[in-house]
Amino acid sequence: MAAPESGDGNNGAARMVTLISSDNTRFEVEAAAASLSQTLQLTILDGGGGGGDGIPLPNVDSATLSKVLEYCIKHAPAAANGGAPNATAVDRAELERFDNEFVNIDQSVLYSLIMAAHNLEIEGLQSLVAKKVADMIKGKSPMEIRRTLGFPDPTPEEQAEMNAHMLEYGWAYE
Amino acid sequence: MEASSSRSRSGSTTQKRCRAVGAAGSGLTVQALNDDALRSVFSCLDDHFDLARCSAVCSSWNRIIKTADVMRDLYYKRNPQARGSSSDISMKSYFEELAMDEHVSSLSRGSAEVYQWSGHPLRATLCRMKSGLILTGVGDKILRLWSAESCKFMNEYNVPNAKTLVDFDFDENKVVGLTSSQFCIWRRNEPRSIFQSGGASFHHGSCMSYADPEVVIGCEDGRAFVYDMYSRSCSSIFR
Repeated sequence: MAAPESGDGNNGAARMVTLISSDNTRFEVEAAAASLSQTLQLTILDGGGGGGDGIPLPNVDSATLSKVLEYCIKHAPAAANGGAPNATAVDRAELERFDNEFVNIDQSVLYSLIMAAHNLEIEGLQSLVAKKVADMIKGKSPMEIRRTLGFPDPTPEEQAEMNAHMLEYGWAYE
Repeated sequence: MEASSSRSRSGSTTQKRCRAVGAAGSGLTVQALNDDALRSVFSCLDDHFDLARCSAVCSSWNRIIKTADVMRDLYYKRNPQARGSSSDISMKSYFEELAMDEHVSSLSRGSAEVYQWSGHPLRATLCRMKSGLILTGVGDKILRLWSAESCKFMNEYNVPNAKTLVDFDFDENKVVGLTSSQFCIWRRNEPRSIFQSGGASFHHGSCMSYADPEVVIGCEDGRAFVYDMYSRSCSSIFR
């Protein structure tokens, strides 16, 4: 469900804005959804992004942007009525289900999302993705963390550094 | 308006250095994350042990965890009453406290394993534990060193001249013991003491502490003597 709205504006009222990814793909979304980004919100409040102009996002590619917008579109209604007060338990459960599903993705996409969420200052997305990475770290040794997150094998030099750093907090390895 | 999500356009070999400009499909690695992004990840960890282990993952993670005070922030988050009252507490004592807290809470959390063994023919009334070692004594003429992990006997040190020890301390090289009017030094690998102070300069010593190169002896008359271990002379007296 929830295919991103294609902006046909059948309620006639929603204002649309156009975002342009680094690889020149144009995305048309409701201003309310794009405004989850603190960065975009200012531009949109100033009246930008409408008509044929579009807002260029030189740091975000189309694959990442489509993923980001999927998040924004899903979360925009809840954000519009100030989050919790009117939300029913069902709504919240549905958002939670969506979030869990949403971060169930390849690591490279996850990292691109973190960077995009920071660039665009989308608070909810930042913490959602950061939490996902943190969950991958919990309870693991430094070496296990490196393997899980796809670091290359340490060089002897890096290994020596790791050993030295482990001594700094010896109590964490008992 | 959804763009086709062709995420794996190319392999994951090339773009290690590309920062924010990287395409989602082209294999952004964890090493492409900038400080802000990593900080947001670290701030989601609510266990100091996880943070400590993260700090050993690589040098940039280590730097961020140190400079961003994520450890300290988490400490305040978990101990709100500590904020303000002791904001100048040094990192070292902070971690000591932290390690003790964790130690206490792990003891109170679940079952503890207790090891018991006979270490001395007479009751030993004092022990000190440091870096995985336990030194026991006071009560008979001998000090014994044990591995804290395996409880195995490692070494022993004879107290000379039929004196009675009242306190002792040790580090990785030496053991220092106190009788009521003398202190003795042992090398960690030899049972016989290599030095005994010449008495007379203090009486009724009751406690001591040793931090290379100095030993501090507290006496019953309220005076504290500081000895330099290398010149083997009393360097100052406090009342």
